[in-house]
Amino acid sequence: MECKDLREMVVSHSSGDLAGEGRVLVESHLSGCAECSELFSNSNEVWRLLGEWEEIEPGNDYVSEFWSRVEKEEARVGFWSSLWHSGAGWKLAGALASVLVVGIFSLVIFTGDPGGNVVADRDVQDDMLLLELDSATSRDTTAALEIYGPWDGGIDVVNINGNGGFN
Amino acid sequence: MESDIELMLRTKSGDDGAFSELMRRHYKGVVNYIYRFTNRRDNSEDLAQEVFLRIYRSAGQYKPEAKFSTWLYKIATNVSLTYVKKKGNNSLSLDEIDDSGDATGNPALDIADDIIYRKEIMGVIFEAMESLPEREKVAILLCKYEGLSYEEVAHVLECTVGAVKAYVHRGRMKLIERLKPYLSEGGDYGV
Repeated sequence: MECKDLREMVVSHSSGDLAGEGRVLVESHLSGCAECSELFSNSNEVWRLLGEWEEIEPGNDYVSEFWSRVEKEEARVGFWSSLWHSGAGWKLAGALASVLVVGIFSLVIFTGDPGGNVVADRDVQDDMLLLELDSATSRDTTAALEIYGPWDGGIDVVNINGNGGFN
Repeated sequence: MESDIELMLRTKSGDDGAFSELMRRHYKGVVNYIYRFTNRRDNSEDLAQEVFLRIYRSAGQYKPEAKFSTWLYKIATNVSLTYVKKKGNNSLSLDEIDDSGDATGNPALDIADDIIYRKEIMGVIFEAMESLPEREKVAILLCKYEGLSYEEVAHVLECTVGAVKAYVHRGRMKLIERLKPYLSEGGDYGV
């Protein structure tokens, strides 16, 4: 095997992860290869160097700090959270829902239509539509009547509809 | 001595004293893990408290399916990752690296040189670690510093043991390249 094929195994060996044939193979290769021996010692050295990254010591009162943080969090979320966890929250939610339902029913029952005076936009639109329809009908009627001859000036609708104007 | 799982089950049943004991056992490890992950000494205790707060809050749903420490470090990894991503650029200048650590006690070394050296080496190691892919970094941090086994790291990373070994070995090879200038002096760094 060539060095490039053994590099990862050499590092594995330095981690103590090689056993059996692999270990024998790498050890025999290392005894005759300066480059891989250097890699092996560098791998060990890197691990030792990482050990120089010093630890830090936490403060002595971390346990009490933790519990005061828990208390603060509970106080913040506090009232509602404890309400839910105690089961009282469900009762309160039920009571609020009941009040809401009763309120809605009361509104429907006691506040009816105050004399039909409420005019919605839709009502206004309907009225305008009717007016337009009425006006269009009048124009159409006039146009349709043109086939009965030349009309001078305005049309006396009373005559037409009245005393046999078409006779 | 009670196991972590027993303590967690006691916590679940409302015994806060059991949770305090769990904190005493693991707090320092979590603080240091977060510190090495984020390179922020000032925030590491605050984030560690956040980790324990999350565990405490979810104690009610705790099921002893895996080792407590793997659960703990999974949460610590998530908290650290969230912090790092939120902060964006988390690298510190060498001046920001705290130098209030314990003295080495080696009388042969000049104290000022030692402080400069330690500042430099910590910054260099952090940068080298930071350059690794996330999984390689987490695997090395947990194996090297927190003493977790490959199996435990596999639980944290939700992968196979073989994958963890590959992460560690590949990461180690990359670190050799990046830290080469610091290895060339024969490994005697005088600390």
